[in-house]
Amino acid sequence: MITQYFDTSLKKWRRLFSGLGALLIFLFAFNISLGSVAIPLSSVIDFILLRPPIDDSWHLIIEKFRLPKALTAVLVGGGLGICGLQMQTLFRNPMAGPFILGISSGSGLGVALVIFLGVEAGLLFELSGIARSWIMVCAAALGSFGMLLAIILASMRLKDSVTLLILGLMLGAASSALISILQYFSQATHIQAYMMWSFGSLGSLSWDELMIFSVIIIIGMIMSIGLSKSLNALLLGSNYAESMGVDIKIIRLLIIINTSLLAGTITAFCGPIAFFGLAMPHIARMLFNTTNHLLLTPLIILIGGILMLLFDAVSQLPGMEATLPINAVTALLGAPFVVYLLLRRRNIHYTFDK
Amino acid sequence: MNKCLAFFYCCLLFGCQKNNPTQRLDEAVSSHPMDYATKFNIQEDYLRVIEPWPGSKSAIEYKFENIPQRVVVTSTTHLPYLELLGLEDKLVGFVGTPNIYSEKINERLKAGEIKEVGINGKINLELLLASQPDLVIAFDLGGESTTLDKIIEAGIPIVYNSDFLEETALGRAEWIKFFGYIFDQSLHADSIFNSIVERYHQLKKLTQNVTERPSVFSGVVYGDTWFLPGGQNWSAQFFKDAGGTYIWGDNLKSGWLELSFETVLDRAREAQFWIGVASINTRAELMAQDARYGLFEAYQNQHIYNYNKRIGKHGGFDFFESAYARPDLVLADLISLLHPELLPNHPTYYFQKIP
Repeated sequence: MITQYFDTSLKKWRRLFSGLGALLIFLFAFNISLGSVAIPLSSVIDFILLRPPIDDSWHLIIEKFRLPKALTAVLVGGGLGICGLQMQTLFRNPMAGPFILGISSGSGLGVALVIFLGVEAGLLFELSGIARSWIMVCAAALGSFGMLLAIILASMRLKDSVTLLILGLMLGAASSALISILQYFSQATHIQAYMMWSFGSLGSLSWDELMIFSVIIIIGMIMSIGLSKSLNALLLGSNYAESMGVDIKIIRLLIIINTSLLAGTITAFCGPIAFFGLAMPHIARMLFNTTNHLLLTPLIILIGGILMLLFDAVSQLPGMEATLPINAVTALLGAPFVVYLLLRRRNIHYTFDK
Repeated sequence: MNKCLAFFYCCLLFGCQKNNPTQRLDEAVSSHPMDYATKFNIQEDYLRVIEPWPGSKSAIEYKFENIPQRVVVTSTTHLPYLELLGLEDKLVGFVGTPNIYSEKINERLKAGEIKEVGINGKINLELLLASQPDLVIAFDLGGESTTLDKIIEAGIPIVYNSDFLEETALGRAEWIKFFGYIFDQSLHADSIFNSIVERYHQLKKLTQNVTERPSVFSGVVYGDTWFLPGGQNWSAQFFKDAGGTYIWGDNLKSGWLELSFETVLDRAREAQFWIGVASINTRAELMAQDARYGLFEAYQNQHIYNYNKRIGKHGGFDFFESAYARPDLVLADLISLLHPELLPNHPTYYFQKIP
């Protein structure tokens, strides 16, 4: 049924994808030309066309700040959206999101341990000589992948996805509790450092970090496109999927690994960016009226990137010297959008009907 | 609502105590105006804290019949005043003792004469009662602290200290008179403060006629936000008095600015001095945190300073403890950084160049 639908409207979808691609490129350029420092459009165009700069520091700002930030935004937006989609389909629950398995709490715990205990010991940084930002990234990654390991071990024992979900929630709650205990016994400056991490940040990746980040995220995105067909089968129920020859256990494992890889990496580099992953699949399904994951996955990669570029441009408060944390903007602007779509369509039962 | 409640408790319970604070409106004229401080003053027979917590609409007045003998303070910034007045033996409890830098007080701590009464600014009521204070000097950032209400309920008088609301360096240092009044050492406090003011003005005079005023900026980036002192902030005034030009000096905020990295780079790229880089101790560390710090000329010319010369064993920063009480030392340090020719052979007290 789905493939038939896909075949007949191939042309329509092709047009939609090229339109969205063009929009993404336009917003990318738009995002780069906006920021706290007013850079004239002509100078941005000079930069894009690799012409020599009028003002050296403008090109420096575009090259060192805006370009890596815009690339990060595209990858984060798409990546988080896919995670949300996969979790919602796996658990057949519209409330699931990328962090439902406790991934963000896991990385939060890793970061909290480094900030509250590592800094206190003072040794970690001075002895290792490793960049401090890398230590934070590694701590967050270790935290989320530790959580992932626990979930995978459990998923091999448990047959039921809902039990897995509850397990994820419990692990998340336990690590949040540990974080609050650490916070309680810490100095104000460390609490502030942790708070700043939890606000999320798209602009703190250097080019070196961005290289590694983009490779992992792109691998995750390719993997998720490969998983789309199995996700379609899962949507119809696990019994049905099994009858179609899908090995539920393997697929479940692959989906969890894929989501954790994406969400864990994003959280490690950019902090826990809330809401986006939960809302993205709903936005995509409602806007494009499809539940086919072969379409939804690339669609979400595109519109996730588009929306994140837009939100980031807003968080820069163009024309002002101050900025807003990205985490605040995503929910502040994203929530009304979802509510609007919901009210227009009146329901979200389209996906998870039995 | 809570503020009203706090006041109600103040009236009710202080009324039963030997201290009898009465409350009046702000318009009441003080008989001993302070020279610089605007948040408290000393009247004929009582101490008046004009704005006990940020945004408080009415003053609290404190009367002391007996000189307190066992006092608990809640902020490291209260300690230097006690120490300058030679009153450290009156201290019996502190909240968050690992943050203390002062050697004298750490010695008393080791001897068990000072008790820990809470963690990180949160008072533990039982520990506080066990240390048997006859006065708690507290600060309140919001006027809603339920713990402080509980302490009053337990019959221990509290005096609110709001020195952190002062907007000038000398105004903040003048709070030594607040401690002087409480412990009946007003004359002593006056003379210490006068000598600090005198020294401060002498130093300030040195830079009055300098023709070259090097540009200064400050702070580091957290997440996506660079925190910098506003143009009217405590540290911004020092940069000016030390003969520098603070890049955000024309800004009207007394708090903190939250700017994006690109804004700071745009305005401060050619600045000569970068003073106050949080807890960072080397340029390599700075580079490791964000390679884009290397774009600043102050980085390339190695003109980066932090205030970490005096750090205690447990990580207490003396700068955050005693600098507010000793603006003369801070100013001398900054002059020696910005204009070494004016203060030759001056070893810095708080600040150091990071290698």
